[in-house]
Amino acid sequence: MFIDFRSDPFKNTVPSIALLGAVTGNVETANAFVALYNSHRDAILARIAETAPQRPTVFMHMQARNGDELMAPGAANLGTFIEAAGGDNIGAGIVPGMFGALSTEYVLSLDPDIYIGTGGTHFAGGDGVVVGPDVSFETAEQSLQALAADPIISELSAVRAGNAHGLWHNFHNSPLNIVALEVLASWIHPELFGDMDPQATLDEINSTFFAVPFIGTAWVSLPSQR
Amino acid sequence: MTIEQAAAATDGAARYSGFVRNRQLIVAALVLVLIISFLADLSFGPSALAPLDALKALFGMDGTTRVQSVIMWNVRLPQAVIAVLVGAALALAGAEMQTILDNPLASPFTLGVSSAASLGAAIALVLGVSLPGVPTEWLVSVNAFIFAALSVLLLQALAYRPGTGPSVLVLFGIAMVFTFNALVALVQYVASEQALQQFVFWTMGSIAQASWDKSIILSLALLIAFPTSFGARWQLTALRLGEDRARSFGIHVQRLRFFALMRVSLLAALSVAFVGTVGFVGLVGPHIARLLVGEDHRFFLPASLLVGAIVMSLASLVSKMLVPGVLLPIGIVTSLVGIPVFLSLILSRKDTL
Repeated sequence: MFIDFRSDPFKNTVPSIALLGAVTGNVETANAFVALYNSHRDAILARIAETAPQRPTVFMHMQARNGDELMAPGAANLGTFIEAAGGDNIGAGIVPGMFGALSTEYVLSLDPDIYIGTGGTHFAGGDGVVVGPDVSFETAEQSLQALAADPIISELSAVRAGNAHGLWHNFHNSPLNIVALEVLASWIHPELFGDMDPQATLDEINSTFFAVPFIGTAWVSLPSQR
Repeated sequence: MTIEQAAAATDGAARYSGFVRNRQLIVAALVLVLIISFLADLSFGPSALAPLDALKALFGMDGTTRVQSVIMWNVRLPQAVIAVLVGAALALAGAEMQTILDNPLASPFTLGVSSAASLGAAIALVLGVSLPGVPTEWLVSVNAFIFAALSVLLLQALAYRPGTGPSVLVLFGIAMVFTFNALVALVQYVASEQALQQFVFWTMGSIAQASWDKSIILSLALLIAFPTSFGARWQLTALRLGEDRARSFGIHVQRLRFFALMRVSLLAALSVAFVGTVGFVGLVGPHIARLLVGEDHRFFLPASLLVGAIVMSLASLVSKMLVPGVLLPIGIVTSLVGIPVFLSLILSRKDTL
């Protein structure tokens, strides 16, 4: 049996969950999750297809840490989610594999409309985005602000305009990626998805499917964006 | 003195001064090539910034946007500078190693210094272990430096053991390469996927994390190392005639070797610590220099330094141009840029190295 939440999670999350349900004898639970997943995703896809909005350029800085490489997804992994949420992933055309380091000058000259740094609790005490389970909102916000002061990242127009966000890195390898898709949609097209409530989706998944709920801060934005 | 002898003497003197002038011209030409490659490295990049605008932005002339000046001052200039410094440091270190160990295969890379640095970096990246109180962004550099310096100190200790000749040192260095590589593999084996990715990238050598701090530290190292090695240029040249011959000139070979290894450890350890393992320059920079100016260390030392700087500077330029937008590690390019030059030089000569 083969499951995948990482290389092409956009295509493989649903079949992987169905497969896991089948082999563990939890077909009903799996079907319920697949139904929730599909309904939430289809809502976003339909609205994007219907309105065909302009696609803002998005730089998703994977494992965002001060002074580190500018890793970005190619046309894979969360890069596909950026496109699905109506954005234009700047790594899509040039990163050959799943992830690749972009040249600093390329990112600066392209000057993306939206900056998203991914991170996690493994950056606590360092200088990266700290988001994830058991992370307080204050910690997450402070870590993002510290990252936004990086000599290169701070020069991006998106960051100067306050259009910078932090996202839990492990969304890149988890069926919870449906929550990430909603978060991305609300960041990339706030005019279309102002009503979107990813926290409600997470709460629903927590109460319906998780024995140990995900509690913490999985995404955060610069204060000027609230 | 007969008339013939006098004529031969003046002829010899004229030929000698011609030889010196010829070598001086070659070194001057290398300086010129370095300046050109440095300016070219500054002028081109993945953004649409035209070469002339790039230089304008560098000097803060009118019509420069904020992003343009950030690109020049925070990205292109630090990278171009560190490329030159690392190339110079590695090639000078390689040149001294080849002379004191009397072995054309000696270089920081072939004698375990780079492998030791890799182990230090792997331990920092994978296990997160370093000295207490080191800021995270310096963790890898500090670890790599400590391990590289320790590996050269080991070579040192061995060099001072009575009866140790250069060939024992070389073989010991090779043993270190394999030992450290095995330990690196062991650390990699337990590494998480993310740490592994970072480490693999590090081993390819990258100047993308260039900073002014690193450039300043490396400049200081060069400012200490080059004058002192240049000060030993006569002794080093004499050593090329053979260790016994050098001793008969009254040269304290062990001390010469000790100070040369100290300089090598400083230059190689810092370079590898800051940009990762760049293998080619330290080995081949000196060979290209030797093919151009010969063994006389008055010219061989500066020429090695300049050739190394030129190779790295050109590699930096090419690494930006090959795949625009994506960061291509410079270590990959260094060999690919340097090898055609190197091969054309060695194949155009009939005699042995």
